[in-house]
Amino acid sequence: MNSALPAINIYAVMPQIVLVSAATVVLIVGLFERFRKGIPYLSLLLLAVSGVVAVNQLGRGPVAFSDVSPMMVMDDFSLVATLVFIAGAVLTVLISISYAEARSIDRGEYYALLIFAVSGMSMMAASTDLFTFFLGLEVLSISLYVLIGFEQRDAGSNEGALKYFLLGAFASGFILYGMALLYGASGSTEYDVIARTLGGERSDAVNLLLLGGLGLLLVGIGFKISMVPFHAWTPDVYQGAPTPVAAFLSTGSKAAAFVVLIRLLVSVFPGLQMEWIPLISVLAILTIAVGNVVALVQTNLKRLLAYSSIAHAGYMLLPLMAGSQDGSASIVFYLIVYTAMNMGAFGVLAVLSARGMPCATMDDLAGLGSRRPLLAAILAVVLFSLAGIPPTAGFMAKFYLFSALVYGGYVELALIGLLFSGVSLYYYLRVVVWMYMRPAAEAPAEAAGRLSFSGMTALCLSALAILAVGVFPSELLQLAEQAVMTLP
Amino acid sequence: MTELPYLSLIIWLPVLGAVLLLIVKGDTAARWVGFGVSALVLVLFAVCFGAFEAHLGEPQFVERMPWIESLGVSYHVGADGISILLAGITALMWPLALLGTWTIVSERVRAYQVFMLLMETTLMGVFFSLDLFLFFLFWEGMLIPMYFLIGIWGYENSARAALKFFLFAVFGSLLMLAAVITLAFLYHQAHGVLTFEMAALYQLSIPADVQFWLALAFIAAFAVKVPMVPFHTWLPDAIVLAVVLVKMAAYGFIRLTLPLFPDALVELAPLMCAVAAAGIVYGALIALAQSDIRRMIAYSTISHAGFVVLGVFALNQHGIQGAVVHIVSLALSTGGLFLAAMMLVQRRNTWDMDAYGGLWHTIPVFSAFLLLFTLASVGLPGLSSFVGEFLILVGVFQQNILIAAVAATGVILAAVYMLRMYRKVVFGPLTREENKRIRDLSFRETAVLACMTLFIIWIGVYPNPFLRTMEASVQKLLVQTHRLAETPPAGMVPVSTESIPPADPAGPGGPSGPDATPEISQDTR
Repeated sequence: MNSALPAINIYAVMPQIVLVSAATVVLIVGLFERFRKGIPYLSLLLLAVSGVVAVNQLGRGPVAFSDVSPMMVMDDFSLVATLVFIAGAVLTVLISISYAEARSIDRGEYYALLIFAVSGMSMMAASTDLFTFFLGLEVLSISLYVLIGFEQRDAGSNEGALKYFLLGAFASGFILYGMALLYGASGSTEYDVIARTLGGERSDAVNLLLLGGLGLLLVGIGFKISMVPFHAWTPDVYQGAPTPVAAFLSTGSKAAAFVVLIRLLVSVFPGLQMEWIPLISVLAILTIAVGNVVALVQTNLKRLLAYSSIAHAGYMLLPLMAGSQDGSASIVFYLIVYTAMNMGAFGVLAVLSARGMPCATMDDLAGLGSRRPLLAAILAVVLFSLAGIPPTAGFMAKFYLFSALVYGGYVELALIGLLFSGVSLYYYLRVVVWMYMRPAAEAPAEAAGRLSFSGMTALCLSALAILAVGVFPSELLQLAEQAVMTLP
Repeated sequence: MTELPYLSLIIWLPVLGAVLLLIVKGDTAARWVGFGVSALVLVLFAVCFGAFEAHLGEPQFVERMPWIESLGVSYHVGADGISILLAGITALMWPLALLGTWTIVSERVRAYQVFMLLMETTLMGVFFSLDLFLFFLFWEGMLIPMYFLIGIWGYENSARAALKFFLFAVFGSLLMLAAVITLAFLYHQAHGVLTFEMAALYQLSIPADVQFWLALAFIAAFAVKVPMVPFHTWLPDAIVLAVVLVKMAAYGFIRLTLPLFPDALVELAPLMCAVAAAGIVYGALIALAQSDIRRMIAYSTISHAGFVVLGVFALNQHGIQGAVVHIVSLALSTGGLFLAAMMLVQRRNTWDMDAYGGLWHTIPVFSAFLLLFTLASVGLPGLSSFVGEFLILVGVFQQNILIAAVAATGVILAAVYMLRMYRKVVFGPLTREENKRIRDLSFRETAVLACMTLFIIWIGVYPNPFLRTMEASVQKLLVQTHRLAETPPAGMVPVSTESIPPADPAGPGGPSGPDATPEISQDTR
């Protein structure tokens, strides 16, 4: 065996390679002005190809990038996660088309960056080494910094980008420092080695390093998933970012961080359970409480969705405590459903604002039920799902999540979470009230034009998926369970 | 037993109708679709009811198939004597209600029909579910159509009322959800299988203190919807659906709270009875002070709902049978009263009692129907409510004389506030000009109200078919409920034929109950 060049398995990083190539192709084609209109469709096509590549590998068992030092692994967990990211990106592209045209930000880079971000998220999901995790994280973050500030003429967009960049840079710093501590404790950045160090005898000093490392990693990841107390950026950034980007931010980037969190906490750090379980449970409850309570008083829709997304991050943190496969599977399931829901919610706003209709505050939605029945119906479905009312997928997701929690023995946490989700109904339903039960103040001088076809396609897809999964969740549940099967 | 999946058809046909409604154009067509579908459901139900074998006491027309296997959830429906009666009154009321509100609802007609049909589906689902998860799904899913029905077609302040109702209901339901999950978990711990089958969960033995909390969680969910005092404050604003909710919530008590938590009931049942009795009097007293017809009906519903809960928690055959009959009769009498009032308000556009008076002279047909519904609500012997209230009081009397005495005052108060309303609206001089020009009922309206009247009189005069339908099921339920109780329960004797009070000889037509025993009829005097 050649010791200088360890055998590597290119095959194991196929999805990531396809995604990066796709992004590069889009970037190059985007240079030609005459292809401008076609770029989104090219992106869709390439994303679909990467999706097919990922689907093809499902169920084939884990394949490591290299036997000596695995770096990345292609298992069902990373593949399912990648598929979720791709689906999120496809929806984002669809709702972006008309929005980007209306704001004249329909440039090749926009879509290229989106796909780069997906490749970064996919890398994060597949990483089995802190280095590849960080690499993926930075690819994702840098793409997002640019995407958030893509509306150069818009002050809010710039403000959001700057905020996200500054805080994101801090978060990256925390993560790097945590990595350094973990390396110091175990002598390696590999997940397996760190886990082994945790499993064996360890001195107090090593223990402290490990704890410190984990703590700092949690700060960085907590920032990405907008966990309290690292959530403060969320409303401002969502409000400022181009709406489709906010949608992507609230689903994809959050999902990626969650996937890493599951891998870390469930398969690397179970040895420190006694330490992180109390910490995460308190933070999760705080996240749920802050998200839901502050959302109650929001009148700006994007800010409302931002706080709602904070609350949902809190729910998704809870089953980590159960430490069971069920718990992890329920998070994966929730992430899938959540992606569809949030894409739908932000998508409605994007589609509306692409037609020049204002949709910043609740007032702007007054009478939407009679002005735009289909759009209002979709938003209603999405909101009921976010609130967790059957027969929507949101209910199934919440049910599965809280069941996993109760089966793990955390009845009290489940009860607190459930009660706060009752609070959330108030603000979701308030939007429905405005749409259906308030007449428009004055007939808004809206463009009578048709809503963008691509945007409506995305929205209808989301709404149908929400209803379908709400009634027949079996297949998706199995997929989620299959995904976590390979996690130790 | 049967070749067609009757129950599934009954449950899902309205959804098909709702989908069909999305295609049809025009208000009239939408009305016909809504009415047609609900009438079809009624026909299907009638076939089903005809084939129902009352003496079995077991769920019949059972359909079962795996649904979400990894969560242990199956699609399992079936009808026993209690559920078939409640589903029956739903099947009957729906076409009548749609017909009755034919012209009353003139805005967004299509959406109205869609939500009404969806609500019928969820109601039927609640009654027929034999799987706790399925039950919860329908239970919670019902909130969506209800929310829109209250919010869009309700009266003033309706958006606020809808929100208030939704929040109340959801908090109750979430507690129940936590309890449902815990139940499944406990079952999994004990038997190693994950299931939500009600029949399996009934067999679970749970420590008494855990039972207590779980029972409270279930009671919270149902008490909000019944509505029991002090969870009733949403009702006066959202009266439209009150009758429906009473039905569901009481069914929840009967189907779940009683058999699941027998030990907890030892402590909780007397408490529930006391609260229910207080609610009866409270509702009646407040109803007495209303001059708004709608609010008066709302508070009278609170009072009547107290009777239903009282009957259920008497935990004996009389009480429970009485409660079920009372629910059915409430749907008819209060439903009829409200429908009639809506017809009146459609003509005059005010709910204020004082704005009427002397209607007897101008619209005698309406006044006659209103009289009948009023008397039915009061509990006049020979009309439906009397049977229910009587049985409930007999049931409670065996448990606690004091509570029975307090509850009985509710009947008297009902007579006072109901007749006061009737006097103000119908009697007296015809002073107002606009009351003189008022139209009497149309043929359609007359038909709807007559149909309800028919059933009110039937139940009042000859309730035995109804009692017999549920007798075996109630007995089975009681065996289940008392499986661990130490003292042998009182009143386990079947009560179908022998203890029915005689109908008032002066009551409208029909023979008095042939098997009435004299000593019980004395109690009523």
